[in-house]
Amino acid sequence: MTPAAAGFTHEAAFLASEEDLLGAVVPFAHEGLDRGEPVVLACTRPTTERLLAALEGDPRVGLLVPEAGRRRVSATITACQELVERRTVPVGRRVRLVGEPAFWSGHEHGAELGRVEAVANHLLAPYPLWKMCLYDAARLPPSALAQGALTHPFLWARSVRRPNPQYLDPELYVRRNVQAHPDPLEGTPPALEVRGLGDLQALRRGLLCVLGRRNRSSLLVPRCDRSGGGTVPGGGGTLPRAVGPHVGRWRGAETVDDFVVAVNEVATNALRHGVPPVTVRAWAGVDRFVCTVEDHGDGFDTPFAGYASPEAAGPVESGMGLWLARQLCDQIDLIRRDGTFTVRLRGSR
Amino acid sequence: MSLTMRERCAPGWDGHLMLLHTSESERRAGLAAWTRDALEHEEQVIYAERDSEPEARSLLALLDDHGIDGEAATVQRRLVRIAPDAFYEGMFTGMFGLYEEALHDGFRGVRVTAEVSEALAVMSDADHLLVEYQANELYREQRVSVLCQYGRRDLTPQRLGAVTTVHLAGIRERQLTSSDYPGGLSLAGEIDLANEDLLECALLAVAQDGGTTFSLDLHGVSFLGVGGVRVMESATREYRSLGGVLRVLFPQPAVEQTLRLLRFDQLPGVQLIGARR
Repeated sequence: MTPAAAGFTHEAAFLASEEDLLGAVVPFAHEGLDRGEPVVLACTRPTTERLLAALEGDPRVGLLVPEAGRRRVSATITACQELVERRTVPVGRRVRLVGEPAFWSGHEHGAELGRVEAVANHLLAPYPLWKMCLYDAARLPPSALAQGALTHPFLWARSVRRPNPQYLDPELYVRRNVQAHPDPLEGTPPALEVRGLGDLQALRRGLLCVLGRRNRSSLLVPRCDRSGGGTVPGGGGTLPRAVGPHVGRWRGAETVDDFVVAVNEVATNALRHGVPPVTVRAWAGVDRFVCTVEDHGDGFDTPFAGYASPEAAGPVESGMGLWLARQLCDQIDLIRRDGTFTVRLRGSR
Repeated sequence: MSLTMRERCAPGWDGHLMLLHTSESERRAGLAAWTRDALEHEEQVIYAERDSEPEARSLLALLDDHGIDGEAATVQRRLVRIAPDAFYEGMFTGMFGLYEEALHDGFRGVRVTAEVSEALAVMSDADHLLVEYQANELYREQRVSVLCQYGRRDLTPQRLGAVTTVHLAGIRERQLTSSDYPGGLSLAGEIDLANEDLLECALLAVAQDGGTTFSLDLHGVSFLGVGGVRVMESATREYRSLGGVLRVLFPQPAVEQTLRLLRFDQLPGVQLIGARR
């Protein structure tokens, strides 16, 4: 069956082999191109190369190139919104996006990936977008595969597209998965602990100190070309240089700065809306940062908070702090427990 | 009369400044830095202080805490104490001949400072605001620098707006300083929950200033949170809706990223000019 022709369609293709990959994407892309629909790939480098080869470098196939600061899995929804907003899509046509969770930084934790996939069903509903998500069984952890199976209304398997009987209502899914498990680092003494938070500047300095800011010039991976926002036409099987850095892990001062901005926004919310005292704890692991911000209020119970992107050309609404924090770290968990509200942030380093 | 002053560079300690403090230790640190700078540049410091000021709160004790020998400076007339009522009486009329005398004695300039809470003991809020406007003239015409010490807790939001307007290019707050910029204002420091209200006051003052284009130089701003961006939008909304253009200049990479993620650069009447490379 074919999903309805307007609005958002979200399907997962579970892949076990290269044949599965080409069998899913190539007909999907050809059908779109034949109908005059934009086709865009947001995939890892190897997958992109394979697909472009199979599509014979068709110059109409675009590649999603996220701007700096928009490469994390939590940025997916905003990227999709902008992808559609920046194009003129004829009535009755849709943008076809082939996405791969591993394209985004932070997907390996699973929890945020699942939430983003679930929330997309709600927030992207009005957008003329058909998103096929490639779940590669050989590359993704089982938790990510399990989450993919709960968050897509349609499945593509063995050359057949069908409704997904396992699909959970997005709100229900997010409510069930909002907490996630504590990070093992939380069982160790924190590198920084601030009780009775009052001075955000001191908090930022403390974080920079314990998270180990490096000089911007010492980035281990070259930075993405910032001029290349949105999509660029892909063709001839060669990739723009800018695709490189965010395919793999990227690191440097930028990630520390981003994490500090994210913590600052969450701590600001706690000071502004929470009940004191506010306690902040931070851990620096080998591969990641973890920070918790705890206050004694009830927090909030809005499962889609912080996922919708800001209005273009509109006022900067309250609530954008959490949205910005989500853009700038890998995962944010909201935990209401025993009269406290805790926000846990995790970022890769 | 015109004083010969050294080459001035912003944002230093010259001009008509507002030392906005949230605690006594902040006040003391700012005042000590300002005084030290004046003494190093061979300028005379005239300060308002009551005879009855407790020893611990006196400028001399404060300087002593910061390793500055105020007693010696007083003997050399590099430091001159005046009672608050006389200070305000003489401030605009040569401070009883002291300004001229200082130049005659070889000082390269004169700086004056007072705690605003002291002023309000001898005059009304409205009269004091008038004094503040005259202090702008004092610096412009006689090159006498003025440091006004304001306790943040004493200021209502409305009064913060009024005094920020007078000291628009002379904000000296723990995290934020301002200085003149051609066709606008230059900010430096960190903007977060603690001083968003100050940013709002400054931008509202700017927006009321008229002018079809206003430049806001951010190259010295190392941190800007969402709340600050929200204030930048709301405080300039009316100005922009009437055709005014806000040019945001040279933000640092992390600040530029925040502005772009929040789509600040796409607002009507906003131009974002990226960092100098």
